[in-house]
Amino acid sequence: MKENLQPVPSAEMRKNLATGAITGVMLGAAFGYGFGNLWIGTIVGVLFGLAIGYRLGLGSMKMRYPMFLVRRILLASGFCLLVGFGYAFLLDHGWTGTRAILASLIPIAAWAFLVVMLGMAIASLDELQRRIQTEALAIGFGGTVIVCGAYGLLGLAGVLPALNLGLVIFVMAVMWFVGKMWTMWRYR
Amino acid sequence: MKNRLKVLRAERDWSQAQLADALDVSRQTVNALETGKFDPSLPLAFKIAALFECKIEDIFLPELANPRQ
Repeated sequence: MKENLQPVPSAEMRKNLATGAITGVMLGAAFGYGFGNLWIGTIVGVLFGLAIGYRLGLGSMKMRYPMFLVRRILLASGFCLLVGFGYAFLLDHGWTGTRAILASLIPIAAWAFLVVMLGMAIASLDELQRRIQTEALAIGFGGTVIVCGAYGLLGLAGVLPALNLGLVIFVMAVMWFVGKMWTMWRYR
Repeated sequence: MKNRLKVLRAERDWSQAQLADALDVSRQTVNALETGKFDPSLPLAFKIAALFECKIEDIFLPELANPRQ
């Protein structure tokens, strides 16, 4: 059954659009810098961010996250990506020694902010949705251990290249998504 | 655990969304409760009982034990 989408008040919609645009700037700038054209990346990022902000304003999400937390998660996600590229930018531009160590620690602040926001979002859910998220995280964690463990062993045997952090995060995200779909289907 | 949530809701002619709003939970949670896929916490069970103005045991019923066990 399709649910009716109830628009949120215009003040909330403005905040969502502004948040989407700011996040879009961060995403677009990061991708634009990574792929060679900062301006096109930023413009595409802003449009993409505005679309996300507009969709948020239509409401009716499955999970009942407070809107302000969704906005903070969006900002934190964009910030994570931006500092990830910013860190690479600083290292590319001659930051060495102690400064390289400091630059390497910058992304951790953004990750910590994102983790705190996600924790607050999960805490704001009702009891069934918290259970769904908890089970999804457990499946995600277990699945990541199995997949990355197998990959690591194959790497040691020389069959696959060495495991890197990017792959671990990707596997974790995929496993969490699979876990969430599975638990949502169980309690459908 | 079985429950009479769907019957009580139908008697009042409420939708799942209306019941979810009254209980401050998601519609998904109301649906999972009605289909018996999810048992509520004690605080939520008390909230449901207060909303329908009856006792918890009038709404939630234990599954009958298997007589062969």
